[in-house]
Amino acid sequence: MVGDWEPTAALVRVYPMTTVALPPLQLRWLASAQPLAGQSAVAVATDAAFEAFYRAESDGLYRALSMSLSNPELAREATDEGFARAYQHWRKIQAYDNPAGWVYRVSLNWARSRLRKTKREVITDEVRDVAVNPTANPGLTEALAALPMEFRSVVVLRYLMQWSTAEVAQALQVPTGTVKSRLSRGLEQLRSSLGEEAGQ
Amino acid sequence: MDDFERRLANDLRRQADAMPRFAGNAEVVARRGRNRRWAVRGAGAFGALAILGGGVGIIMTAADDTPDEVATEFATVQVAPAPTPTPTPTPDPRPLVIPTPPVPAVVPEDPTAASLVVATGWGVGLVRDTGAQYAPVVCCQDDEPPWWNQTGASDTDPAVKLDKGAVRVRDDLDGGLVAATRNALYWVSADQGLTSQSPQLLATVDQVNTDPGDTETSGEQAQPAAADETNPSQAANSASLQLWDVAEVGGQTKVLYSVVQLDPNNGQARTSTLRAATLAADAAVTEDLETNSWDTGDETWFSYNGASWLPDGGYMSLKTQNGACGWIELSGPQGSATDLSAPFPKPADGEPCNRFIAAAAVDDAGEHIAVSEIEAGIPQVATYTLDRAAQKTRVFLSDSVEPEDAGKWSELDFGSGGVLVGRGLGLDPAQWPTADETVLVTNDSREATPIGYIGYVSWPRSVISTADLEPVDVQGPLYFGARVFAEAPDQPNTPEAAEEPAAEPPAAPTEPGDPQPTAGAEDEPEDFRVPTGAGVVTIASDALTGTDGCARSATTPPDDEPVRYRACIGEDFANAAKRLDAAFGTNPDTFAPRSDPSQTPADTTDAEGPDAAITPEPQTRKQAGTFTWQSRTRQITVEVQDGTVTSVTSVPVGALSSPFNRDLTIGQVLQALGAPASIERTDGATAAVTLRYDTEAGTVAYTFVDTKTQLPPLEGSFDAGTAAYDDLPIVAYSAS
Repeated sequence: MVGDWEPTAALVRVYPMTTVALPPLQLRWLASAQPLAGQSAVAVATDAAFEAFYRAESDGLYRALSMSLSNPELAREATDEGFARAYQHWRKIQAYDNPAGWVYRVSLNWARSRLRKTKREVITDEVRDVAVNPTANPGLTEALAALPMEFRSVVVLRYLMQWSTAEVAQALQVPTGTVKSRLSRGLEQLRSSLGEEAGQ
Repeated sequence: MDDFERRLANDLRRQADAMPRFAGNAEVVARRGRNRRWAVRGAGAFGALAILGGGVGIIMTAADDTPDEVATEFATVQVAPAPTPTPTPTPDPRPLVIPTPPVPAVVPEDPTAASLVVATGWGVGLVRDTGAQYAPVVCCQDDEPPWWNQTGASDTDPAVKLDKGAVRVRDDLDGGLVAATRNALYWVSADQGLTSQSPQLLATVDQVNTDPGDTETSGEQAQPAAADETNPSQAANSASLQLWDVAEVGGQTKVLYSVVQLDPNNGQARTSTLRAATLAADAAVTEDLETNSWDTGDETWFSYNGASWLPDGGYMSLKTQNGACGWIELSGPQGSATDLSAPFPKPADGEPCNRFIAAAAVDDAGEHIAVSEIEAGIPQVATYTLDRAAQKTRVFLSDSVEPEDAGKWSELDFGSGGVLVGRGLGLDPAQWPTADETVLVTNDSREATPIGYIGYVSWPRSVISTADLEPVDVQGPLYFGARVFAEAPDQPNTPEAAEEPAAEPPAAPTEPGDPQPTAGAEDEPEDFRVPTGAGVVTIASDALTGTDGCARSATTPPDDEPVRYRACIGEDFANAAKRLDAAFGTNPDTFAPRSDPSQTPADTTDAEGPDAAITPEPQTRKQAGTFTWQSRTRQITVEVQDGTVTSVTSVPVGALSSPFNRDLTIGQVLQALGAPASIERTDGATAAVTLRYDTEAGTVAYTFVDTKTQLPPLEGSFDAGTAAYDDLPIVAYSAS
């Protein structure tokens, strides 16, 4: 499982600092021409790469986590937490095939732990203000929330994030077969909840 | 992708598009990440003082927040170090020496204060000082160079080069630290203090008698040597040393380890020796317990896969034959030559041996053994009641799990009260177990980088499925170990309570200066330590004075039940007293609250071991008066009239009380940190900061000195009465 997690050079996603325009005020710590006191040029470059990654992935991960957790508030915290941890190990994580997958998993685990810790484990039964687009399938939110967490995560990553089965497996640190199994069972439940016929 | 899947993807996308954009920003996140590296210098009821590099900050802690989390949000005073002409890397992640004790205003640096190794892990060790704070002493994380203690050691000049990934630190050595590399065993005693020169070499692989002709050797003595010039890593690669246990046995601190000499031709064990080292104040004595050897080319060989001391001085050894089949042996104390029954004896000749014991542990009482077994490829965890008359009761903690997970249960141990705690990577702060949960942490040692898994079980039996085992933040930051707390006080009849002998109340009242009775850590509700990325700090207390008139535990949120102790205004005193008795370790039958807080020992920081619950002389239950319960860090006082609680005060010992709320001013913060007027924290290596709270002027003055640069002190002040902790100004420090 973990062996799969080691970065593969050909698949490494690069978040170059040069591709991102940095707002000078908000990101003073990045955009300053001179490093801040105590901050080396290497640190500045590292921060810039992290910033690029953050900008590219944070919103999508937040939304995926919101759906996975059915709890936008918790997802917001979890996203922050996941990225904070990613920052701590950014030099290593940025070389991964899919750093966003790492952040997703860490965030999800953190959220689940938080829920467990606070004894509010009824993740699937609580749907908290997940915005519903009236043009979308109205029953989707409820149907998705009714899925067990592990199924929901796989569905969200596969169909919202459009990650491949291998990427989902890598992100969740489960075998590919497990992803396929969960995907199949999750879709089956969704079909049932939404009144769809299998294969329809 | 069929039509349904396509529509599902579209619907999910539309749904996501309708959601508000994520409101975070990278700077805040990065700051959070950086702040994980803050070294907490002192902790009080509501916060801690932290230093990062040359900066200083106040970390506010909420009830169940972890300091690192709060640090990111509430770091209030930050002093950046002055620019230096030499390139400066990112802030030094290694925390500074954490002084003793957390509460007093002035904390001297005392490197000899370290007394207890509290964390385990691959390449990570922590030593707790007498103030229940921590300092890391070993670090071989990720790509960082190994180093030994921050006191005087540096990346380029570590006194001991510990093999990456081979360091094992055990958490049950009161008085120091024992760590092992593949080829050597080191000891840092508390008396010696934590300096770069302090590790003593207990043993190296080449000190072991490897003569295949010997089958039993004992009494060999080895004087520990300073490790400064020793380079045990030069020892032959064909030998390896493994540290298995450190425990107090018969009043002595004894280390159990094994050394395996491998045949360089085929990599198989040629000599396998189980050894003991007895640690004394100025020396250590090592001896062979068992030595077994084989001729080169023998098809059958075995090595040790674990060992634990038993309370009677005997030991349990976990042996594996040819690296596959395994069994457990129990040996009596040295000299008894008694092999005791064990759940899985060595198969008789001719019998198949398809069982592998991945890990085993014996509880402190020597009554139970936890075994991680893999039988026919199916791993499972079970506990057994050890009866030396060969009666064994098997209790499965897990049903079989998928074969692919074999090996996950590689480390087991009994924690407080007989619950299982896995050693190893431990827990992420967010994974911290609540009071009524039992946690099982396991390692997947098959991987190059061990992975922690966590599952929750309820004692004595629960089913653990792989779905319940979550990777604990793989590739994440340091994890410093698991801690399981006591069951909620309203569940006194927990199995472990029934199985473990309860702490007896003291026979006589305590007097100042007398040794205080020490309750087990499981009896202490205050002893919360939360890991951060840089070390472990103590949130000085879990108890907060709530606005609802209740003092309650912070192990669970204020609106959550059950709480571990609670006393509320208007409550029937008998009920409150019963809970408080249970929570503070007093005997409900004798009911022994103190009515005079002056009986509180002035200095409890010298107490040995975990926080000491103090049980005064039993007295008659009263219907009115003032009653006080106290542990080392927390005092709760209940005023009673006509059998009803009229007032509840919960305060950290030695600190002023202040109701917790998020409108605290910085002055209140400083008060809560343990001093009404001033706080001084000095780190000899880097920085010193003094915060002075002028109660009359309502200001906080600070003086910051960078002892490295010797630049002029930075001085300033801010209004303590108006500046809330979450909107205090950032103070920049410039040499100009």
